[in-house]
Amino acid sequence: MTAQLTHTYKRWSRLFVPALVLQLIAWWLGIFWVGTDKDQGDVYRIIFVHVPVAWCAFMWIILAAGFAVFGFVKKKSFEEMDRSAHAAINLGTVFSALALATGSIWGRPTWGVWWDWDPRLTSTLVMFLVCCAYHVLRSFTPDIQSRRNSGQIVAILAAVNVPIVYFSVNIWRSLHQPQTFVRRGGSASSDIGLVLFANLIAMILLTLVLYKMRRTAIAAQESLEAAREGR
Amino acid sequence: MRRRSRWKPQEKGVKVMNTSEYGNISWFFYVIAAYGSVAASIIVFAISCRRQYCKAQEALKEEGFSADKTW
Amino acid sequence: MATVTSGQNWFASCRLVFEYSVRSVFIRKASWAGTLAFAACLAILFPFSFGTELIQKAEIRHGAFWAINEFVVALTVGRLFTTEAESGILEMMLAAGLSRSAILFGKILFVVLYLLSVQLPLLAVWIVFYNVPNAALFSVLPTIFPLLLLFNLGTGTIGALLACVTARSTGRDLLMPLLFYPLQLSVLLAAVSLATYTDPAVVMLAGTQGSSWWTLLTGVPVVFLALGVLLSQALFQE
Repeated sequence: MTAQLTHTYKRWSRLFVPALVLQLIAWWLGIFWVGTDKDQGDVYRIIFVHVPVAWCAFMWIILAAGFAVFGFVKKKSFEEMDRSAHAAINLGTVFSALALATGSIWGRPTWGVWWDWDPRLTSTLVMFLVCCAYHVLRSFTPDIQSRRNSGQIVAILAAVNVPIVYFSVNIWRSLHQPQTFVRRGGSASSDIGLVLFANLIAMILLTLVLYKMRRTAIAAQESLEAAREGR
Repeated sequence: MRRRSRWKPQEKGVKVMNTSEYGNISWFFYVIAAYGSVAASIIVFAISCRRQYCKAQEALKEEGFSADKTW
Repeated sequence: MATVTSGQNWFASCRLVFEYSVRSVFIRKASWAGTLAFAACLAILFPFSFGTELIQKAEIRHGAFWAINEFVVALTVGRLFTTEAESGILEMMLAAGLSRSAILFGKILFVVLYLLSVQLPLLAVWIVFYNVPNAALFSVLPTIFPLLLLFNLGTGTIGALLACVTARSTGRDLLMPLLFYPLQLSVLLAAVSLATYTDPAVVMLAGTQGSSWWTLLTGVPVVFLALGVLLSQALFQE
């Protein structure tokens, strides 16, 4: 294992605990510091975890598509971009699952149901399914070059599909029933906005550290496979 | 040197909850479930990254392979 | 069959792929007849699942037709490019210098027309077994043909792209539906909504948004076709 790979992994894994502590501070602000919402009561505090998680999920899926496009454009970096896209989709899968879970947990006391065919939740669900299919595709493709090619294409398709599904579910929902969750008339308090922003920044930083850790681990794994196959 | 007073949330009209004021447990359950699931997932993800990396490193050492390619 | 020569023009390449696909399916008529029989079986099974009372509701009736369509689509799309890959014709076409985008277009055209050849008899079966009233029939018939064509175009485009992506993977029977259905969801939603719209028995809460659905149905194949052309080098690896 080269010194560079080990150095990279150690550097980023050391940042994990500080990033986690930062996130815990942001969560503390959301649970204990900011006041209660007059419409939803205290259960609205789930927003400080659900919204950052959902945004991070979308961010990493779009980044994965960006890596894939870059890999196709710059053939020399194809292998590296594939590893980057793989790590990004990994994160996107986990965070979309978390967005669905936290969305459901928030929906139960708010809407009275665990699931509603809300355009945002539905497009997150579809994105999660495509991410799962990405991982299944990679494990079902034995040849490394084909695996990289197919993976990159699916990463691009996954990102392109997200706005299409959101748009279509939005129209579909408006036909069948009115919005079950209506935005409040007044704008949100600036404190809520501030805490939400703090949580978003903390979550982005934490996912960046996780991405680097996963990326290095994937590089190590693929190096081992390449060495065994004599590539 | 004159010290500036620190801003307190109550001064801005923000209601700050104390733990003794949490009456209804059910909202707390939902909030803990949401935050707990995210925290647990992040920690499990980090552990799985570490395990994947260490396993690959050990295997490379044991099998006598010298170096990896570009990362 | 026309000889494969390098430098054939794009339309000739497209036509070659289309003709080969048609011949490989219809040379064994059992393949097309089997798909039709499968669709007819499903059309009969749905009333048993939902109950014959519930199947009289307009939304359920239309939903059943499109659900059966989805099963037919899964069968068709899952077998795309397998004959070419097994017989080595695909490698020959690529080696002969046939345009990759022409191969893709030819295959998409085949899917559109093949699905239509199954959907039209299925429509007749649906009208009979689901007791579609005359009012609903006369309102849906004018739009059903362009609707089916656009549905098939969107489906065929996504299916052809994914067939290329999964060509070198094992477990294709699992992979294809897993990848295909989430990507095809918007096309299905548009088709179901437009078909249901036309039924006078269906009451909608909001005003009709037919133009949005038609935009989506035409937009999706354009977007995925463009992607297919841009990624054609990666899709067809020699």
